[in-house]
Amino acid sequence: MKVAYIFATTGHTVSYKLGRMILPQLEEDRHGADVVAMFFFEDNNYILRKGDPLGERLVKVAREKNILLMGCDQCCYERDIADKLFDGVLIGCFPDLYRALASNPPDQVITL
Amino acid sequence: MRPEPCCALGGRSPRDLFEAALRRPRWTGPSDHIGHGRDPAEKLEVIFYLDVDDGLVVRADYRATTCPTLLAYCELLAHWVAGRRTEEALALRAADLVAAVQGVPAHRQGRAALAVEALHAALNSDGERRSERR
Repeated sequence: MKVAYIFATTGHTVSYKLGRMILPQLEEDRHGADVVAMFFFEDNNYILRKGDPLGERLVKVAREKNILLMGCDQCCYERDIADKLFDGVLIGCFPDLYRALASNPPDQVITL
Repeated sequence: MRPEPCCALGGRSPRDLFEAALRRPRWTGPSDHIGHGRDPAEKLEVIFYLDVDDGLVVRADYRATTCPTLLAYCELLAHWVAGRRTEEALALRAADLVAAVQGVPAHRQGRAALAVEALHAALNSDGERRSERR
């Protein structure tokens, strides 16, 4: 099964659910689903900023497993980080996400 | 009344320009010069509306697809072009606009060319006053 994650809420969304569950499972090849994309809203975008330790691990896994990483463009501009993200991480909005996923669509979209 | 050029091209962030674009009062009257820029692949569109008097841009407005990067570029152009000579505005290049708005990642900087394309199309249009609003 192919899934896409949308990190929509703040709080422990990235530090806990991504950082302590999804990412380690991906690193250990035991997540149980093929992740095709992750899209980040609001403060969750800080993980995509160059230098973030969790982001370093995420980007490495994303490159290995061909996972699209995209930050919400408005959220990134609002936080002045749009041009400070890891190489290969895009900013965009729903049209960009859907276009990027058109050739490799997920079976399920999980909003966290 | 002829406006003075309001601002240098550079020095504003995409965040501030996007916020200004959201608050921009809409000019609903007819315009002398209307120009379009389109990117069908990305489904993006810009329309610039200008009033030009004796070679001077006296009023500028735009409509654009709701992409924050595109809106930021258009907002800066609309501020910058009011009060300027048409020759000066036609000399502006997309690279100038890209350089003026710091903080836009490379894969989004192509939006500047679309904004400049619409502005130049308006400047080069026939000058027939008409209403064309969406």
